[in-house]
Amino acid sequence: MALLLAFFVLPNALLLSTSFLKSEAQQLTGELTLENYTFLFGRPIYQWAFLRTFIVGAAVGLCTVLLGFPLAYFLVRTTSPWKGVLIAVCLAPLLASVVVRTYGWYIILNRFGVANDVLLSLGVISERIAFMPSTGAIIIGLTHALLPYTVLTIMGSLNGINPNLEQAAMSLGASRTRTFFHVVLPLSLPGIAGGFILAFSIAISAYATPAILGGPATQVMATAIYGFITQLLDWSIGAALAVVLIVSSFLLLFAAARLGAKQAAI
Amino acid sequence: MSPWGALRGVVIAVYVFMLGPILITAAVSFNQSNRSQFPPQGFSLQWWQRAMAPQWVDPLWFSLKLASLTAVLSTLLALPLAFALARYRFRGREAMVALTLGPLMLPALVTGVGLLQLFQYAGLRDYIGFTALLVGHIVICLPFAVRTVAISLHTLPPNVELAAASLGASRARTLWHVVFPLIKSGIIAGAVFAFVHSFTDVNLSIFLARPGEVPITVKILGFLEFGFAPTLAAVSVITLLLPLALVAIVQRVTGLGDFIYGQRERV
Amino acid sequence: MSDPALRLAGIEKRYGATVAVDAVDLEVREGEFLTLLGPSGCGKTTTLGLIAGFFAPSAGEIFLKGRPVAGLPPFKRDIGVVFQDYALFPHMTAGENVAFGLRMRGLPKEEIQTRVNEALELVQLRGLAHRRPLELSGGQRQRVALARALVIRPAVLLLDEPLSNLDLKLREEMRVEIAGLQRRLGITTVFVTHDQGEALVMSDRIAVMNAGRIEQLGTPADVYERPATPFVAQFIGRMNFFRAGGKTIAIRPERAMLAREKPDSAFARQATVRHVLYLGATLEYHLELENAERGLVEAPNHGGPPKFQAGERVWFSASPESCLEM
Repeated sequence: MALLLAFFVLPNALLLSTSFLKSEAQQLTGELTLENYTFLFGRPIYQWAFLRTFIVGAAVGLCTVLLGFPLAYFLVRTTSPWKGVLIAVCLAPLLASVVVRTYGWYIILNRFGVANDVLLSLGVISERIAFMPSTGAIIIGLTHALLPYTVLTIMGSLNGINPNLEQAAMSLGASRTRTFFHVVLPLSLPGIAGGFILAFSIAISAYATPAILGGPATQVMATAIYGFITQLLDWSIGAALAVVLIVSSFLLLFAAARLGAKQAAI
Repeated sequence: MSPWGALRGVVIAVYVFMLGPILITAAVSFNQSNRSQFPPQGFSLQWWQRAMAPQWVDPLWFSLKLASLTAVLSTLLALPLAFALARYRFRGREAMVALTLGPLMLPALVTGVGLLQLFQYAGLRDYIGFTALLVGHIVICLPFAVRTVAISLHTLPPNVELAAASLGASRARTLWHVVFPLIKSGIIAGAVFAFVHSFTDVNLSIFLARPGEVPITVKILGFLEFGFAPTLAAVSVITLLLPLALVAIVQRVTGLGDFIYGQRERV
Repeated sequence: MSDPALRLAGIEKRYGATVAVDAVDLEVREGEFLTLLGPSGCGKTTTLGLIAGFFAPSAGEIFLKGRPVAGLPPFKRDIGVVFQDYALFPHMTAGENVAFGLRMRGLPKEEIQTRVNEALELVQLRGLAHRRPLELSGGQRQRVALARALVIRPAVLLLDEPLSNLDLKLREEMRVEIAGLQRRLGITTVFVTHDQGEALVMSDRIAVMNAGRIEQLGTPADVYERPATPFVAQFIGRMNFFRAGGKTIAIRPERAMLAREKPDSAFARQATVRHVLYLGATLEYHLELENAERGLVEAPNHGGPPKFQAGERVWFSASPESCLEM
């Protein structure tokens, strides 16, 4: 507990206070100010970074749900003897660092990468095009990185649905499709919402993927924080950005709680 | 096509999406040229040879040490914490739960920045590197260990402890002879989750590394600025295989799978 | 006179505002089989937990062989408990489960081995010592749990609805077997159940509990033939209740009689047969009396069509000794 207080609460409290301190010539002064926040919210480049972060988060959440739901539904309902293996394969990417997995997309998407090679040889394109750095590439990379979390969350809620309910619906005259839309989908909504928000909240604080697949023109909050802290050595603004990130995460968690997503419990 | 058949097609496509990049990385690491040609041209182990240079082996070794120590220490800390939270209802319990799970809720990136600032301003600048990384990793891995142990405590068959007591076993002997053997797989699972989380972390580590004390993930990330190099592909594959091998071994010995659902609500 | 094996004096257990056990006094004699019988939530399992020491009473004292046990943890009380879900240790074999209590008492290895074998033999599980609980059937697990509690030769054996997870046939077998074993070993036993059949078959005495209190304490015949309260009367077996001159008369359905002519009997009422249920060994006549009172008569099935048909006007009667005044 003391460890958590010292190395978790204290650093975050320190950041919060730093975000209200003025910084001059890369040194913190004792002067209280809101300048850091007005600076961030006043510049188009950071306004864009905020906006981009949330667009990426929402897009990643949506994509993981769109790809994850069919997969989760399949994994829960399949009677294949390979079910266990399929689930393991779906979760195995979690064992690899996001850096490693995003690197795969770098190999595919860069100017001299696999995608360009394949499209060129197929004659679809006549000259190399830049898939990255771009916001789209970041969305693809993060969708790939976070898909297993969403699948797990949705599987959790699908597993909780009594299969007899579907049979009951069909015995009452509902077709397969109508059973799906009137019974399965509504009951798995908490899982879908939970998966969406989970992916959303991890995506907005992800650093590696935007750093690899994005560039200076596609800054998000996490890369901006890194830039302020390690390159510009401007702690005040870096801290203010971090506080904005924390507040955003908490708003998402709050939304999740309101939507009835399962609370983390011990 | 039947709906189930269509679903199967979608599922195959999703698997290709999930595994494709990883397989391409592996394939490219055996390329002969230093371009990321795909399909690969020729076959060569030269990039794998280069991946064995100290430049890559050292950070790998560093990450292994860091993750192992993190796993052991966070599990040791998690045991009493999980017991207290799972078993007792006391004042301030809610606050303690929130504090324990806090690092799951807050972005690790922010915790990393905060720790960096703390170490710098508290005059602990010299400890940035391994010590700071260890502390940070324990903080972000602790929730995994605590929750996994707590889950295994909750799934303990009811009444076995009362049964042991009625048969003459004291609290301590009940713990040793009944509770520990039954939550052993939960403890191991918690340690494995902590290991994997530490080994794969990058968001916290980028702030707390220093030259010579760099985890492999941060090393790869830094190297990417220089563009593509097949050596990196080989290193990536190694970095991917290590935790996979560990989990495969542990899965054989005890059942990890039971605990994955318990982890699912990590937000 | 020597001390009773177990004595509860003014035992009370409160959880906040709710009273789970309310001023219970009880003496269990040496070697006796005493049953706590009542509906769920009546406080019987709580009482058992108090005796075992799993939690402390809010008031009152418990004596084991005359010795107060307040403050003694369960592992110092010299009790054996069989739990409803058996609570076998899943990571130990049947033999290791039975040996556990002896190991905790620090007995020498050879003695443990002999006593474990004896205990397993006692419950007819010889040869299954090496099986784990998961590899045993429900009935076998039950026997392991019994052997585990018996092998430590406790001063008092506590059984918490041990038969409720077994199927009907096995349950009826185990009733007889456990009761027989208990008499053979002469071990003082407190048995908790909500099943009146079990209680009647197995017990020396029954304490009928309701809402945290003991409503009646007596032999099986006592509580069945002479129920002290309306609750006991309708909880054990079935009962007809009639108002008669400001008093309540209770009549067991199997003691009541039906006739077409008015009988020359102390208690007789005219009634209409509502419906007749065919139960195999018996027939049940459901009646409606005047002022909307209901009546039930249970008659042996002698074969052939029922004597009375639905809709028929009949006379309901009972001999004076079958009429209980409540």
